[in-house]
Amino acid sequence: MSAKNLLGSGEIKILGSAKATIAASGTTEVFDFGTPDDLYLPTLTNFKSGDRIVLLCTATTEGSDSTLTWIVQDAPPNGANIGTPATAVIDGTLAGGTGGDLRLIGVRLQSGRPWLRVSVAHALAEDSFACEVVVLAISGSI
Amino acid sequence: MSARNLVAAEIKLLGSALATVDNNTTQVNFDLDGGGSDGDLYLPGLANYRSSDRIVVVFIGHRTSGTTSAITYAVWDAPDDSGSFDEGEVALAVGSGGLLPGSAVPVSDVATGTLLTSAATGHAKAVVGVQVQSGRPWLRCSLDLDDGTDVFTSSCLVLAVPAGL
Repeated sequence: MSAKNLLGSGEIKILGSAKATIAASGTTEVFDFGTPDDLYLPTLTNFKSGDRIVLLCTATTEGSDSTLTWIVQDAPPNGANIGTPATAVIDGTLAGGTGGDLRLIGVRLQSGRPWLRVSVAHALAEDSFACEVVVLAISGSI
Repeated sequence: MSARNLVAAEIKLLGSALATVDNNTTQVNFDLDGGGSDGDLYLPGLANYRSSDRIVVVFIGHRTSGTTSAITYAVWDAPDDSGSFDEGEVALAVGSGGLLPGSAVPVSDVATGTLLTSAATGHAKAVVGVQVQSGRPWLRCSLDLDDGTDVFTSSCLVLAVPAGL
């Protein structure tokens, strides 16, 4: 086994992270990444054009009935705020099974849609979930 | 802003675990393979690991009680000892990364083989690159506090990033 290239915080960057708890039936929780709640990529100091976006999504629960679903949206600007969100272009799947969940979701940034919003929902009122999303930017040069 | 590549399907999850430290100062090792107390990763034995992959460890931690304890993340490697992590040869892995104490802005890279420690009062997140070394195919990730004051819970995810991503 020979030595490998070393990736660090210069190549794999955390753009934001947020926690949310979801408990009630039909509730959708939007992750709050800090002001202005959603992520506006052009103003993030460690985001560079050419980065690839990957979401690390984790959820824990003591239940086994409800099915969790992740929601990833992008949006155009509306002045200095987020415009109307729509489903982002992703790879990976958004629907988790019952129980805890862990998944990677890639996001393709689209021209004119620099805002990202991440939410979580579940189908039944049986379980509560503690959820977290970490938004990673992967340098285009690795 | 032009279209970007989608890469999540190419990044492989080698292991993940959740760990909590509270009211003690004992190092907690993440149970990365889900096998109980023996939670270390043996890279050659993982079906989705390739020798050209780059290893990245992501720690996502939350201080759930208290404001004073210093938190330490660490990544260790070791040779193989007849199918087990060689406890007699364990050492801090060669790596680089940034510790993020309650912030989305990485701090400067740490030196190789250095513990990632935060005394900040909030949470602590980190992205750590690990250099897999010849003859040291076992990886261990750990969480520790410097005293028994606070309660801290953290996830650890070990990712394999393929060459040429």
